[in-house]
Amino acid sequence: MKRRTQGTCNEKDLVLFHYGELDTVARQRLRQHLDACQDCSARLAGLQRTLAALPLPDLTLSDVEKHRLTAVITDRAGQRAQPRRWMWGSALATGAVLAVSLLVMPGGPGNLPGGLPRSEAEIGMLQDMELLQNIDLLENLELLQELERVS
Amino acid sequence: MDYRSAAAVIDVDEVPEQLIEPTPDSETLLLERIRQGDEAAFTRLVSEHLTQVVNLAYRMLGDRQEAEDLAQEAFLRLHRALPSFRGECRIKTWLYRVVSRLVIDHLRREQLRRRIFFFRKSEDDPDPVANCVDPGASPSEVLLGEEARQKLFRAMQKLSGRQRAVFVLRHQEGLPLKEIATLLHLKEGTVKVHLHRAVQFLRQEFTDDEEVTS
Repeated sequence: MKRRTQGTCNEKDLVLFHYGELDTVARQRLRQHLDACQDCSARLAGLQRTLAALPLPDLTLSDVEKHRLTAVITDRAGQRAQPRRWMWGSALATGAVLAVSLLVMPGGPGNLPGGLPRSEAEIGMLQDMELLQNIDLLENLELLQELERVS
Repeated sequence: MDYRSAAAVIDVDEVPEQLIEPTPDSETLLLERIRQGDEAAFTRLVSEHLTQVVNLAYRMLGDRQEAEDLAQEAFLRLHRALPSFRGECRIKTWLYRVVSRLVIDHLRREQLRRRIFFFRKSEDDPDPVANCVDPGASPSEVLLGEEARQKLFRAMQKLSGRQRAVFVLRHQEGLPLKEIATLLHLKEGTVKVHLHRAVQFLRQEFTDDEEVTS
C-alpha cells in the first residue's frame, strides 16, 4: 500500500525521523514542516503508535538452560579443535601405507594398470611376452593346418 | 555499552553516538586467556553473551530451537576465529554480525527448500518452549502477549532476510543504521530502504488489524 506523500514529508523520511536517522538539515526541515502540517503530524503519531505497540519478543534463559547450552558449545568447540589433529594424523598414515604398498607391489609402481613401463628390462619383458603370444598363435595356426590336411 | 540500554527510538534531536567502542581491557584479557587455551575463559565468554545472542537470533527467526542452533554456530565460529581476532571491534559486535549473516543465510536456504519441496512450515503452531510466562502477568495478558508475538513473527516471515535483520537490529536492538550497514556489509542507503519497507509492511499488517477490531 502506497502511503500518501505531501511536500517534503514522505513516509520514508517519517520513519527515519522517528528513529533519529535523518541528518541535521533534513531533520530540522521536517520538524518545521511537522509544526505547520497537522496531517503529517497525525501520520507521524500514527506511525509511532503502531511501532510502540509492536511486541518485543524476549527469551529468558534459566540458569539450567544457560549452563546446558554453554556446555554444549564448549564441548563442540573442543571437539572441533581435536579432529584436525586426528585428520592430519590419519592422512599421513594413509599416505605412508599407500607409498609402502606401491613400493612392495611386484614390478613396482610402474606396473599399475594403465601405467607405462619405464626401464629397458621392463620393455624387454613385454616384448618377450608378445613373442610368446605370437608363438602360441603360430602353433595354433599350424594345428589348424594339420587338421585341414587330415580332413 | 549495552545495545539494549540504548533506546530503540532515540530522541530525534540527538545525534546517535557511535556504538563501536575500543575493546575494554577485561575483554582483551579474556581473549588472551582463551588464546592461551584457558577453556574456563571461553566458557565465561559464552555465558556472558549467550542470552543476547540467542535473543537476537530468536527475534529474527521466531523459533527458539533454530535460534539456539545458530547461536551455537556463532560461538563456534568465534572460537575458530579467535587466533586471528585482533580486537578491532567488540566481541558482541562480532557476534551480532555473525548471527545476522547466519540468520540471513538460513532464511535463504529455508526459502529455497520450501520452493523446491513445496514445504510449508506450520505458521500456526506456537512454539511451546518459547513461551516464557511472566509470573506477574494475568492469564489474559499472557494470552494477548503471546498472540501479538505470534502475529509479529507471522508478519515478519513475509519480509526478506535483510529486511528482517535490519528491522530487528534497529527497532528491537537499537543499533544505529550506520552500524547495521557495517554489520551486514550494506550501504547505509540500502539499509534505510530495508528499514522503511519493513516498517511500512508491519504497519500495514498491524494497522489493518486495528481497523478491523475497532
